[in-house]
Amino acid sequence: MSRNRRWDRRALRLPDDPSDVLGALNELNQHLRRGLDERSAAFIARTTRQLLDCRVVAVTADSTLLAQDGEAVDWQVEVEDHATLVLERRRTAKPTLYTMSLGRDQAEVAVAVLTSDDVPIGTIHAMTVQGQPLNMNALRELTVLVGSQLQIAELDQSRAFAAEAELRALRAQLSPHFLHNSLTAIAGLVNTDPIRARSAISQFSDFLRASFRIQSDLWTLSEELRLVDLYLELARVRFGDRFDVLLTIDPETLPVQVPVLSVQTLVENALRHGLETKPGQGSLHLGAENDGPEITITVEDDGVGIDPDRLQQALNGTDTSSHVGILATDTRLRSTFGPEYGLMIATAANAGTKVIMRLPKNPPKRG
Amino acid sequence: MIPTIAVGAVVTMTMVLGVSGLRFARTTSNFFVASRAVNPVWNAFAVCGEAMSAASYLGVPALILVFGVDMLWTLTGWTIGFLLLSLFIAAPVRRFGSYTIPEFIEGRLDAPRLRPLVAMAVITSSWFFLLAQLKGAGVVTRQLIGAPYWVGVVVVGVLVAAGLSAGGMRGITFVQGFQFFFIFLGILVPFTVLAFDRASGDGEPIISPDPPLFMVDQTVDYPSDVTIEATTSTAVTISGTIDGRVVDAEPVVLLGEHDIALGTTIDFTAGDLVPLEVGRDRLTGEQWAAPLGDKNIGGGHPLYFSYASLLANMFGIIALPHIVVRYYTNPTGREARRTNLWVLAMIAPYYAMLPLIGAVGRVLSPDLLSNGNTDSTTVVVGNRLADGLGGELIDAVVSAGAAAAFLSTASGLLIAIAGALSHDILNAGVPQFRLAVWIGAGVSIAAGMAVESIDINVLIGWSTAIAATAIGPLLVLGIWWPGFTERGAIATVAIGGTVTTIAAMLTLFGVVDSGWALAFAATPAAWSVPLAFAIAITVSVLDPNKVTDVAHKFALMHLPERADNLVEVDA
Repeated sequence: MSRNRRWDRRALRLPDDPSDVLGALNELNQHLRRGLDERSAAFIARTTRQLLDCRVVAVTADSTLLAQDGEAVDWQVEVEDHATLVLERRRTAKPTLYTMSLGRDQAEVAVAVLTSDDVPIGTIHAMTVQGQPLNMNALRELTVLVGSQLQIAELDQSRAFAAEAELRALRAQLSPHFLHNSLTAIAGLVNTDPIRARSAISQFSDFLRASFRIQSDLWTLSEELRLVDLYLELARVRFGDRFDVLLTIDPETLPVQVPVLSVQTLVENALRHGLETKPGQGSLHLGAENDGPEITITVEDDGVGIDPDRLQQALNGTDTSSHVGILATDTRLRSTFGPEYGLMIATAANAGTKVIMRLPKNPPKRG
Repeated sequence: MIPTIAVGAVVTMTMVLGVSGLRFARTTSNFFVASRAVNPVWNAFAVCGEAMSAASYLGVPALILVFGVDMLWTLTGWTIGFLLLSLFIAAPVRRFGSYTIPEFIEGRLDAPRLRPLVAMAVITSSWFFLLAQLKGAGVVTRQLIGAPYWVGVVVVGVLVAAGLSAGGMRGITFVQGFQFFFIFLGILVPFTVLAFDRASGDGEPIISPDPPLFMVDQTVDYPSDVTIEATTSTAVTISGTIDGRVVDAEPVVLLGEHDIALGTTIDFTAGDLVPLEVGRDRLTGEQWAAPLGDKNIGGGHPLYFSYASLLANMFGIIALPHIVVRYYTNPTGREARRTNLWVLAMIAPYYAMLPLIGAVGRVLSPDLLSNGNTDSTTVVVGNRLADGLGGELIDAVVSAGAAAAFLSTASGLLIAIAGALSHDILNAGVPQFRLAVWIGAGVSIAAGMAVESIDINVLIGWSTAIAATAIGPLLVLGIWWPGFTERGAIATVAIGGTVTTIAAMLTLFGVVDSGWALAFAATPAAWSVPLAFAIAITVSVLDPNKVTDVAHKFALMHLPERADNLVEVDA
């Protein structure tokens, strides 16, 4: 065993300092975070060649050559043909050796299959230096490492897809509930107050158009406020003048990017769960404060409040019947801006509800 | 008394407006009113309130008084800086959407590890700028109520920090816009009085050809320890301490160097040559009024100084963090540019009026060249322009303007420092921001008390040199050169920031004190800015790791925003 290890070391030609190896792997990991593309493939090829000390390394996605590193060997056709072969036969378990003829030359080539979540997605071809065996174990380990990193990248990507899907869902969710209530309210007005009904219908159409035109996940607070305004106008049709709205908005907060429909969701929550069931006049306070590099948005109502236990259940996901909007907003904020930007909720039965949302002025990284 | 009340009123109004959160009367139930963006003109007032600081209000007249017309380059540099900001910086940075300079650089170059580094450059440069504001506070307070220098430093430092941590940022656009009017008025009033005075006068030039001399009998107070040098025998009456000897209304003949202790007063008679503080150049009126020549500027190299000063000030202005963040308040890049146009229109006349105050200072307050108190030139001139109630009123307006100048800029700088510390370096939230405000204020107050003998514009010079060298190239190249890379930026900040900081330290501790060495260390921009650009470009060209999706980022910065508005009707 110990003999074997010594041999490994020589064949691998590991640099004297292990931190070089770790550094190379870390750099590789960072590049793999983007998934398998030309740049990350170039890095895989380079790292493989450096670590395993071979003549030239090629990386394919499926059977298409993405990148190669080392001697200028024209072997694209051979590599792609062989990659197709290997992928068809699903030889994913361990690297295989074959002999490639390049014109008059013969060369030993090791090929390993890259998998992500056990699905083959590409191959690594390493051409050995004449008369120097390649460390197949090391190649296999490297392949596994690359595969697991690619899987992480895929997860990242699916998380982004999930966030987008959530936005769509939120938009869809906004509509049916709200559409129904608004239309019922307007229907009630048609006979008693046709003029008001007419203006409500036009507001309703403005609101719909505004929500249909939402394309991105973020827009400015001032755009969000205009949407909230339309929403409240419609809500008034249903609620009558049973609630007052007070706004305190620092003008410095207006250009800040906020998640689309986030404030609207909080306002809707305040109306539905706070003010709707409250007897008599209620009030809603919407504030946006300038806090240097951040802003703080608060939505406060003096309605019936939420039982903290039920809220806790909703936030834990054990009670999925209510407060879905708040929960979704919380998740969206965390995934957009980072875990420290979740919602803060202060409430008690019959004591109103205050929801605080913190946002950085600097928009999140555009991907 | 009236001036003290005026300053008290400015301070109180600033605190009350800031903390009570009177934000354009934005407490409303009307969404249209609440979501209306800050008007570009009003934001321009705020930018001016931020930009018109103790550096210009107090520092420039002092420079002009001491060194003469060569110092006009400072103002020219600032004006060019605002022009550059307008043409090349404000709109693209606004469109990119980042709030602070470190965030912009991080986003533009995809370089998270660069952010704390740039934040450190931001903190260093803002910190020197803040010290200059606190120095101004100390000097004006001393002038106003005779309190020791440190009182003003501590009071203003604590007030600004308290205001910010009590939510004073809420109305900041409004408060700074409001301070602009006081600042502008503080210079406009004495300027107008002087202009009318000249118009009705005998046409004699303001500047006499002689070296500085007392025009009238004058009693000069010495608010700090200084060494003065009389070149001719000057018979005076002294109360206080001279050369370690306590005297009381004793006639003394001054000749050669004398140590004068704090609290001493000396009676001079009209026609006496001013015994200058040691180290000051004894310029005749002609030397004062002509540029270049044999002057003790830039270690005796006034031409080098002119270029260095111009470069430091023009690239310094674009890279001063408290100015750039103000454009974030504009909703679009176009509005940012429009704001800046107004800034130019308002700041240019202000800059044009300042030199006259310094020039008149040579006639009205030559004593400042002797008692080491040149940074109070503006206030002293305001005080001596007229007698009686009129004089008091002018004094009040000028002092109130000075207070507004250092208050607004000090709070803007403290926000920048605390933001960079908590947000960019520690990556923390609002409570840490409040803590960082107090840390920043504490350190600055301590250092502010120690810089009594350093001229405001020396501090500003270091600040702008660091900003121009370490940050300026990042902004210019980041916005306009697709090939700029992370490593290029790191090399620029690291080398540029280090060499300029070392240069500042070399002059601060008196390691270099004459000739070219002093010129290079005291005003490094003439070599350090080109060096920084060279490093940035060379390293970026050699760097194989180019920034990905540069095209997307350039589109974001340089294309006008989509004009699609929620409630707009489709065409």
